[in-house]
Amino acid sequence: MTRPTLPQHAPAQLAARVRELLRLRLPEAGEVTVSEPVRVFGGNARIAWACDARWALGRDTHASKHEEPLILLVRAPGSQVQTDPAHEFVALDGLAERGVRAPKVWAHDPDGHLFGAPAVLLQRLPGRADAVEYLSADTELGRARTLDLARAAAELHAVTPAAGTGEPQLAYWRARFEDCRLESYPALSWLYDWLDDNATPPARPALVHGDFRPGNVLYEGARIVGLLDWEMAHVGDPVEDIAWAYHALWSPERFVPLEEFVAAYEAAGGVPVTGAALRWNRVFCEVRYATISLQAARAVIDGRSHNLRLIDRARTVIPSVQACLEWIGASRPLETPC
Amino acid sequence: MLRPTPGELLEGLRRELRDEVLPAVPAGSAARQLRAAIHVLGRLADTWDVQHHYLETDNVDLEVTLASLARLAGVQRTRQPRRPQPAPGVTDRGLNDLIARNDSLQRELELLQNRHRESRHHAAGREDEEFGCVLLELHQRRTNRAAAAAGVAHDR
Repeated sequence: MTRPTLPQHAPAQLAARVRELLRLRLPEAGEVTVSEPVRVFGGNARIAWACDARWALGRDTHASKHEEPLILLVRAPGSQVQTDPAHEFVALDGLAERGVRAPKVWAHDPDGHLFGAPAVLLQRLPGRADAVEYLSADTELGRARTLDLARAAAELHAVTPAAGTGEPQLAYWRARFEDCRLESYPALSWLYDWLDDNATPPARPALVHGDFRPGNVLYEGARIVGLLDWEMAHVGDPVEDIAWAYHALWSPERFVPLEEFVAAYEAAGGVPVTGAALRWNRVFCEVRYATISLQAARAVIDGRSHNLRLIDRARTVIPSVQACLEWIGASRPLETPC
Repeated sequence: MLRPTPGELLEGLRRELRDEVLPAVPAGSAARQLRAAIHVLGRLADTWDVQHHYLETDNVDLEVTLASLARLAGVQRTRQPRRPQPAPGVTDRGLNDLIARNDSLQRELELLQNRHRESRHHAAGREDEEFGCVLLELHQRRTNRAAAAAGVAHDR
């Protein structure tokens, strides 16, 4: 089987292509210069390069000079989740200007003609993005940072979403599950049925980040500077972001219990969160995580991914299903004990 | 020949790769891949011998509980045919039979819960509640059993 790879670009060639992409967004600019991109860690799903761009608007002595730190994100071959940067471009466009802690979006290469795969060019925000460091911070710092994360979520969910947002999430993920599974997994099927039977429309639909967790934020001290990785953004129930942030693998529960996070989120203007919505979204997030795990394991078995961290991901389905069954069992009416 | 057991071989591979090879690999992609492989070897060392018993127990539970569920739903069992091809990576005929049976029982379970869900919309009652309880408990038992077999509680 042929290993999927991206075309290799020399740094100078990559810089020229970033400049070409940027020029489309800056038709009035004079000369645009771009430093040679440096490869940085962009997660399992994307390949990332950092660079700096400079340009001037206007003429001669009246020209205003601009300098912008940038990050180029190119979809990695064999990625286990839908990571179309065009989707990220649409989700992010204009968000920073509306008070959301999101990078400004500069341009995108939807068909990959410049970089060999779809790519998006974003403002490079300051701060650190290190989930291990975040989750191992001292209690006081981690608590202050996590309460700020709740405020960042409330700010995001206050933005009125654009209409028309594609396939409903539950149907989308169920289809992915049925496509990728290597065996029946009747417990997961049953959980999808439970979600379908118990779904209620969100109290107030919002733009949902879709991958909202400590590993996808930039922070400086106790402050959350920016939310990263928007390729799973969609319009839906904002409670989904809270439930996803408290998935056991990366939960900040050690710093701020879920109930307190919800209270801080609501106090910051977030959507009121009911117990039923929180339970439904926690089950949904576990089922979604399990489906992503099955997709990841399948990608390695099929030879589409060579990332050995994914080869045994199917076993992470088990604790997700255990958690869901426990929550559902505990929520059954007292007159029907099992 | 009994020794070294596959578990000893896997544990030895894990230990030597971790202690002797990994420190010599420069930080980066190859080291990350090696760490992931060492983790999986450790998991296999802990669980290589439980598959047979796990599948036997799971198959008995599925067989008995499917009979109960069919009775509660008032329907006949709809046994699913075994897939003709062997499970990938399995050469032992006995283990392959257990896997094939488990696979067909899982498919029968999914079919039964789908049919019950469709019919439930027309009539709900005490049998329906009982069906739901038996099904939930089956999923809980099977998931806990899978956790033990996969060594989920023994992550390093």
